[in-house]
Amino acid sequence: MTYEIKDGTLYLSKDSHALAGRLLPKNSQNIDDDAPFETLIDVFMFAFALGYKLGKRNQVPPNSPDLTSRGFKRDLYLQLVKDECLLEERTIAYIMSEYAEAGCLHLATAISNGESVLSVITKHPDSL
Amino acid sequence: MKLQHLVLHNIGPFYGRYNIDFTSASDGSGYAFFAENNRGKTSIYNAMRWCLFGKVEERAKTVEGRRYKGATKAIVGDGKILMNDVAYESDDVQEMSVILFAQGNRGTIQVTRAAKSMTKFARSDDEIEVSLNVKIGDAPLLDGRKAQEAIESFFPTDLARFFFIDGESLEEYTEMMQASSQSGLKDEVNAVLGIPALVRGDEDLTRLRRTLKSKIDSTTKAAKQSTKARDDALAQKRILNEKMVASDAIKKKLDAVLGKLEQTKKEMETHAELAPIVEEIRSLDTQIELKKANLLESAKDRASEAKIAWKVMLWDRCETVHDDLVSSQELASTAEATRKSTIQSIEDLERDLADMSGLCDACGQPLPDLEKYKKKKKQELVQRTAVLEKLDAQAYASHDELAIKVGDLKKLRPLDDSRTRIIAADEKWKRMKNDLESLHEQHRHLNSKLTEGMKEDIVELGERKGRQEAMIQRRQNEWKSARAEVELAELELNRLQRLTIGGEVSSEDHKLDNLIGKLIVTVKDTLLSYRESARKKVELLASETFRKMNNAPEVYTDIRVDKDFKTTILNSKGRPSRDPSSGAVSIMTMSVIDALRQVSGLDAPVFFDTPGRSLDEQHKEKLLEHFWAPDGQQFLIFAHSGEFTVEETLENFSGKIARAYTISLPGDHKTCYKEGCGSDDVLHDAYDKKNTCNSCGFVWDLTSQNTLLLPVNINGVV
Repeated sequence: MTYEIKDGTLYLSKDSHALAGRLLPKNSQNIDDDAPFETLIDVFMFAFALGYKLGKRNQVPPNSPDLTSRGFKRDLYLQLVKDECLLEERTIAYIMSEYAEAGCLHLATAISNGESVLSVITKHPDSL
Repeated sequence: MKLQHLVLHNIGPFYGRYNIDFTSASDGSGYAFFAENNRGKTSIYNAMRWCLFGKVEERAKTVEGRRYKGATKAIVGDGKILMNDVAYESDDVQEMSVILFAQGNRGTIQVTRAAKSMTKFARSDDEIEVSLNVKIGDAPLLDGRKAQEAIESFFPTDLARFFFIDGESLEEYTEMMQASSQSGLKDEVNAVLGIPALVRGDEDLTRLRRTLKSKIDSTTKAAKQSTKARDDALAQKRILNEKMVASDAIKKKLDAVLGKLEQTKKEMETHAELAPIVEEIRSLDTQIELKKANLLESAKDRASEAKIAWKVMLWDRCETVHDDLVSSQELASTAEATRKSTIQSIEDLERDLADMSGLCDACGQPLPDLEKYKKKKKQELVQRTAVLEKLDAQAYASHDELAIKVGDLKKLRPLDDSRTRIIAADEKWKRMKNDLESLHEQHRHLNSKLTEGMKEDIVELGERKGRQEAMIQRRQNEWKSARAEVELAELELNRLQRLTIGGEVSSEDHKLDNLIGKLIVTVKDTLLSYRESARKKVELLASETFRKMNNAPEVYTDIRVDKDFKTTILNSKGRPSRDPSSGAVSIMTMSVIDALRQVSGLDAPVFFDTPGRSLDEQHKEKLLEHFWAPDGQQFLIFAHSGEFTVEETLENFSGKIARAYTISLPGDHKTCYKEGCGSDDVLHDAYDKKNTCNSCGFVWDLTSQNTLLLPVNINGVV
């Protein structure tokens, strides 16, 4: 019997959640804080893309907060994570969350190194 | 006024200059111009009218029972004009003139009226300049309006109708005399009696009284209004005082703030050396605010671009996958096509082997090497089958499945310039951020130069100054509007105070009103009595003349003139004649005209054009008998041969004629007309159209259009 891939729920660890919050201007303290995203989903997708680009996944700890993601079409990314979903019998959101978690970790490192958030898109995976 | 000479120049048929002499040693008052029709009688009559009054009106016309007033005759232009046709069409300068010489009470009168074209060829009277000169006795020469007024003094225009009588229009006079007072002779009678001045006086007085009454009424009304105005003015004065107090209070406040501002400025001077730094800090504050706004704007742009930043990164990895999928898709398509063609060729080979008969399809002969051929085909079939098996063994993903995958991946593909745009937006934001940071650094540096206390003082002073200036502006506006209210209140008070003035009716006004009322009654009574007296006089004189000229005294006895100057012929029983003859009516009309003329008291010649038009022989004789009275007023007739012939007139009235002229063209004369000849021994040359007098040798052109004005020999005197 083949595994039926489901959408699932997006999660991020508390630390990653906190990082994502800091990247939203509505939560930043100063006008010149590097907070280039408008919504949490924007941050999540950025982190996911970064993790996916790096080919790294980090496990999201249990009981981590979920992300309200109304209108987020997970099946759009099915092609990207289908094999992993089938192989590991996981939901799309699960795999994506793990990629995002890894992305957040790298983003935090880049920020702490004084790089701007968006500058990571210019970096080669090997240099990250 | 006795007419002495009339000089015509280029008027009517008179081309060139003609001098008509009216002086005579005779006691007679008769003057006659004899001519056939269209020779110039009426032109002389019109020349006199033009010279005196400046215009000539054509005869009134009756069309379908309605009478239309004649138009003013043009000096130049199309149709019948006053100026001589030859002078108008051929002369270099178009001009005409009439000069009148007469003897009046104040000496010799000379009236010269001339018309001259202002252009090379005047097409209408608009291009004609008319001049008028009048010289009376030793008085200075008058021209223009004053000259016309001088003529009016000795020959009023209103009376012209009774001195320039047109026999052709006699019915018009008759109709007026028999009509009601509205359309009748009333105005003319008023003019003859010299009443217009009196009527005007009556009208002026009535108008004056109306004005006075209006003034008295308005004064009475004003008296009522003034009492109310006084109360209003008192109230307004109180309002004005209140407004002035309010205005003064605002002014005091304004002065106080101005004083405080001065004080603040003095205090600021003590910190003068630090003021530039404070100013610079303020400037930096402004710049920082501006930069912050720019940074916010830039952040928004960056956020907008950042929305697809994940796609850019995702694509870095997916692009290879996408390209592989596209290649697989192409491979799958090629393999499918190869498989299909292999299956087709296998089917063809199998069919070929099954259908093989061993005979040639074209000639039907047995095929050589049939077995060899079959063997070859079978080998081919084995090879193809092997290829198909190999193709089937390869695991190609289905083409549709690949197409879905490629389609899904393409949805994640960013635009080609997305990366560049994201980086540019990020760079811009970083630049702005750095700029802002730099400004903050400068701000911090300047702040370090000031102690907190100093800074607070300076800032406080600056703010205080700003507040005080704003307050001054507000107080000035308040004071301005308070002043405006005071001015308005003053204006209203002045208006009300003006209303309180006057309003008392003067007793002098009442007296004057009574006096004017009495004067009006007097004038009206005078008018009535004058008119009645004149009516009686006109009735008496007209009846006398009528009786003289009437040839049926047993039927028609008198003329009655009623209060409206409507005239009626009375019969022997003193009653109105029911159906008087046309001759009697004409005589009545002439009698009334003559009576009015006499009552007017104006001493002026009478001009009678076509006098015998509606009269029989007996009436015509009586007419001249009456009007050509010895030492009477000059009476000029303009008659054609059907009315009065020269011979008969001379025979019957030689003692009463002062001067007579014939008006003719050379072609009218069959006898020699050279002065002093008169011979009828004339040779007529029909071919050359000329006559030659055999007695004196005078030759005249029968086609000539030169008008001849020849004096008539009266009792051997020319």
